[in-house]
Amino acid sequence: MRSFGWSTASVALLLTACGGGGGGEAGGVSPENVANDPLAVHAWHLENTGPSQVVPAIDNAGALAGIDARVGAVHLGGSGITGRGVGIAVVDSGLQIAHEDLQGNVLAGQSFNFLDGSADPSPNSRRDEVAELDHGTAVAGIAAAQGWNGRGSRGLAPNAGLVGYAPLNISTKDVGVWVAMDLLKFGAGGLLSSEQGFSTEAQKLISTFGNRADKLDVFNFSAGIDWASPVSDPHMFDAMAIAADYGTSSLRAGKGAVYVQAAGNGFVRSTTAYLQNGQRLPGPLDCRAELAADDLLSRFSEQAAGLSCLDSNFELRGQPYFMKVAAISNHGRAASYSSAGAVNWVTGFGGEDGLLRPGILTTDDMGCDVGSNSTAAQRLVSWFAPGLADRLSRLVISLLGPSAQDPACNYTAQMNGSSAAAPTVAGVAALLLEANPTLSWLDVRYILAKTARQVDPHIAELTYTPTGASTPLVLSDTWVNNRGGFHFQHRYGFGLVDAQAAVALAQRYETPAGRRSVPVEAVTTGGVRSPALPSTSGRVSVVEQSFDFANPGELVAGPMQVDLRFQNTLGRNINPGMLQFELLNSESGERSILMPAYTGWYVGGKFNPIPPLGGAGFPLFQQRFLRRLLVWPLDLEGAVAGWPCRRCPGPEQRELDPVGTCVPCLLSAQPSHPHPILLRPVLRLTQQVVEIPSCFCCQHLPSPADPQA
Amino acid sequence: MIGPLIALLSLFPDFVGAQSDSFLLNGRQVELVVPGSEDGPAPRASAPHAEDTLTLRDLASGQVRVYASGLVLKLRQPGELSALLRENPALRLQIAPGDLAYVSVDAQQLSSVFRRLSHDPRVVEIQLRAISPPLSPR
Repeated sequence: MRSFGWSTASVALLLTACGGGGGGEAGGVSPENVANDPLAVHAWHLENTGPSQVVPAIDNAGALAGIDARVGAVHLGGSGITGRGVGIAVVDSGLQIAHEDLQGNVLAGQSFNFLDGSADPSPNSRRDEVAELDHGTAVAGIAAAQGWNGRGSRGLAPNAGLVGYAPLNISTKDVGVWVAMDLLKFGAGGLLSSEQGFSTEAQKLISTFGNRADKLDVFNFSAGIDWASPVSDPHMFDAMAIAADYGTSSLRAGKGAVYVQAAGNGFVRSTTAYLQNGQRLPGPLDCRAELAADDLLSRFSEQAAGLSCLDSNFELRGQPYFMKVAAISNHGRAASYSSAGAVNWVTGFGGEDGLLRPGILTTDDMGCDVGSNSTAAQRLVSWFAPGLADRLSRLVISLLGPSAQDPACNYTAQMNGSSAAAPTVAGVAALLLEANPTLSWLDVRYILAKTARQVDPHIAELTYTPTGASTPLVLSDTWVNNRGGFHFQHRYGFGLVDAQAAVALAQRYETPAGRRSVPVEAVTTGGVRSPALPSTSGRVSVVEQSFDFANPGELVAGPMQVDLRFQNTLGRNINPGMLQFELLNSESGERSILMPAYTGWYVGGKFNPIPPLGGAGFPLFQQRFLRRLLVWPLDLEGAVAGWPCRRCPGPEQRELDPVGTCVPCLLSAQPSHPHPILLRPVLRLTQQVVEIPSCFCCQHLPSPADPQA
Repeated sequence: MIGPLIALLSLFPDFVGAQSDSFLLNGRQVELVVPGSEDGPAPRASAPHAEDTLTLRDLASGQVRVYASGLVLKLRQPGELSALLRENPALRLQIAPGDLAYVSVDAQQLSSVFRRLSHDPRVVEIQLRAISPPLSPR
């Protein structure tokens, strides 16, 4: 869950916020969405009837009817597809397994608490993540709160089984325990055995955990690490990827478990951000503030309003197995915080703060003395924003402190973030697996992408105009459509998940023919040096590197991994955050912006510049071409960038070097501006490109086996 | 385990010109930085979290990178782990999922162990471990 803070601006907004339906009467909600679960009618992510819907937030004027999961026609009041027989693991801070609206779905004895080795991951006094106690309980409720039981609301998969693996972090320096924990909680216990030589703690953990995750189908991970740049050294072993590699090949009798991860909440800023060396940036990472301080903001379209500060490609643990899920609000546009990036797969329901604007209604740790919904939280709001508290108290429904609808504070409406969005997709995945148990993990991903709805159709592209350039550099595209009929946008991935369409496709699904079972690799030879830059435009230089896939006659489809490596041959430090990495398919003309310039990496790059002769290597993932797992090691020597002059303390315009030392500007007459490099590796396929999602080879035309082709 | 994510550590067989305390990591000659040297945290950034770390310096550029302490070995055959450990007493096994082995090594022995394992035919790859800051709910 995102933390919220109170500011003068938010309080002012409170005073002027229009009513728009927060306290109105319910309107237009279908009967099956109301029956038996008293709070479900207020859950816009289940059914959004527009501004007139009664929601536990002050301002619902912007609500857009129909921006919901479309589960009513799937659930059919409990008699339809509801996730029966499907198990969802909530890997999180905790899960209150005795919660009145969860316990009916909790799989007895299958959860795990890594602190004490018990099967109870419920929040308790031993938890050291005090601020996160309620997070996993809220996540679990979104995915699979029990339906039609007369309590609370309901999950996207109201009859799916639930287990919780908690907490997210434990205090130990025992690497064996850490790695075992990462593997076990994501279903890869089959890789481990209690072997002599492990630490006693690791052996005990492995044997106590046992095989409890072996029967699970979906793993939801509403957590992550907020990096300020892509994680370097892509070849290092990643326990999450090791686990998911095993889980996608071995669980569900080889059909593979489905892995879901929150994409992140760093679109505007990030409260915390880590550098590649593990250092933590002081204070929040705020990209636009940094760009303003560097006098660059005016060079962006709309003052960089469309810039994602943290890119979801920064954290790639678990790739390519985990679906990265972005978040939408009930007005039909991306949630204000939802991180963008080429790796995003689909969008789920995240909402806003849940006070001024609707969040996600879900389960909360039971009781008014704990959780997000508590008397303490109520007091906090009353203290910092008495006007807001007063208005909330007068709403038809308010889940802040004890209320008529929820006297025991067992539910919250303030859950939000990509943490909330991920379990909405995990829940829909569970519906698909009930509808068609033969689906593989790749099928589920494909169906979700294929049926995702294109929302926010007019989202603008983001541009940056370098000094001397006649045309701006596009940092982020608007919606693009590939030749396979998929639409893609970095904030939304393939679009908003649609349970009704996805289940319908699952029920008549046939796996496309020709699926490749092993990755295809294409490797470049040599590199491109800066003196041989093929083209420039203004101060944007373009480095292109071409390659062919090796096997004649093969086409490839699926997500793509690009392993990039470059070396600084300029003789001075460069900030890698000023580079932009793109992938251009020369056959189709399609382009994918793998990593735009001036994300949070621009800030992180000030701390970790690339010195002369130094280098960087990292993987980037993209879904735009919907092909899978092509390894593309590049040796791109010749990354070029200038360092922006900043106003250092003192009267002279001077350059602030990457470690914060003022040195004379190289261009002293006026502030120099960064010279972003557009690395445009050219993807050259040997045959005409035809998108065959989740099919890894061989077809020239959309396959008849593609149910929607 | 998929190839792409764990790809290649370049285990070049010869180290002509290499310094005695250096080794080849992903094609770059690196050395271990002694704690307390000039390569401390960058200004304005807080210190790394409480995890044992290794700091390596690229010999060509001076570029410094920080890793979690320990090595990860990818073995040709998991069954060869016991013999490998027996013949390399400097390695202390932490955990061995599948064909991987997480091992700890005293810092002063890291370079020599890395070089020796680079030549061991039972070892397909050697990697360092990425720093892992605390996870945060999203």
